[in-house]
Amino acid sequence: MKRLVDPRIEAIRNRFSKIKHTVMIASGKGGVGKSLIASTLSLILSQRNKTVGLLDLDLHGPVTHVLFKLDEAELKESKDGLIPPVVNGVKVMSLGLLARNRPTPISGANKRDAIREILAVTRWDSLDILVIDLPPGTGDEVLETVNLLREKSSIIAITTPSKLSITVASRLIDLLKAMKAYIAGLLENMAYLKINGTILYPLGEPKGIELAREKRINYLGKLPLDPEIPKALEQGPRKLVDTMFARELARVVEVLEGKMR
Amino acid sequence: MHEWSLASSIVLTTKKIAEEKKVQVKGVDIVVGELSQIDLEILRDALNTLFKEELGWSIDVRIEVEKAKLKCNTCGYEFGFNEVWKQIKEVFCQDLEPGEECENPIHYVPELASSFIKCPKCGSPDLEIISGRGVWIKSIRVG
Ligand SMILES: Nc1ncnc2c1ncn2[C@@H]1O[C@H](COP(=O)(O)OP(=O)(O)O)[C@@H](O)[C@H]1O
Ligand SMILES: [Mg+2]
Ligand SMILES: [Zn+2]
Repeated sequence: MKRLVDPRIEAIRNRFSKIKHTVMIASGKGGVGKSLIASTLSLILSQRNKTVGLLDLDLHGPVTHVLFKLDEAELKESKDGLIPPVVNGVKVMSLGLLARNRPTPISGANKRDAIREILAVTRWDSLDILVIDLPPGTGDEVLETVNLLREKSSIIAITTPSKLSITVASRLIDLLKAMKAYIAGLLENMAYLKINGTILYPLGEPKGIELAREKRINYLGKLPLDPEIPKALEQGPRKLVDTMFARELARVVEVLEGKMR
Repeated sequence: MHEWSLASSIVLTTKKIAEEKKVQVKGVDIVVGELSQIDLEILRDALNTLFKEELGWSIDVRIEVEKAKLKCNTCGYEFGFNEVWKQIKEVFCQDLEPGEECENPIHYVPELASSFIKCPKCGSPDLEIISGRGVWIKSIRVG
């Protein structure tokens, strides 16, 4: 049977009318730090007294999971949708939370529906900013999210200096531009390693700035490869926002503020 | 259950279409997928109330249910919700009193079905929803 009109579209529009800014964290490939950046960014913003939401659409995002203790968090149901739990000052929602941490083998054809559904049922209420941790690549989930939220959102593309990452980031940027999405800028993660005042480039010399120039988008800066991160993730959010990684990300936030839609 | 938020998005959408097309709405036909596990009476009440209170409309609301059909991508078996309902109950409502509602996240995001149920034939979790998900407006009747 044909679905003439999908009421979720209007539901999503209505929900997002109460959200001032939406920032999506995107990358061409996995493992470049999207989830770490999205999580830390939401913590930094929350520390600055913003009302922040974090939506994890990457079904395989252990960082969000660990950091926000999603094993224990519980969604509340209300007459007007699902209320995300507030963890560390951030309203957090993920499909993993709904799936009670079970694997979520959603087949390609059903992914777009799942995205629509989660956007339509989640009750963020008023937010200053919603950070969305996108799955890697340019699959159905990413296309659907961008399509639904394009008008009101800004995308941060993440790359590392590695050649492979730069190549896929380039493709991602082309695709996002073709979709008329707004890219707030390119952010280069794991760009350098600082040991005793010496700077090393384990993943190669940063090349993000050249890519940004070529694509005519903003270059938002470099984030260090920070050996403190694994320990900080174990110790929790207060330790995480106290790392060099977070301090550099906080500088990016200043830059970002003027560039958000 | 989220009948009220569903009703509210249906009302918003109908209003928008009526404005765009500059028509007067006499009735709406809604289809509800079985996987949404919607309480049809609550949905009907919510729709009537919201159409009346938000828009001042008294219109004819018809609701039909589309049966769920799932397909296993591993062995190709197609099956209905009734064949896997027991599995859902085992996960969520083991100590449920008779007559109590079995709350489960599938009604919010039907795609999550594959996290909780397996193919009744071969046990694979790689399932696809063929029909019976979501809620949509099938048609709007105008005067
Ligand atoms: N700048 C960094 N310094 C140290 N570790 C990092 C950094 N960025 C990411 N990581 C680690 O690398 C792994 C992959 O990061 P993650 O955020 O999960 O990537 P993605 O979400 O893009 O797949 C995680 O264990 C994360 O803690
Ligand atoms: Mg991730
Ligand atoms: Zn099977």
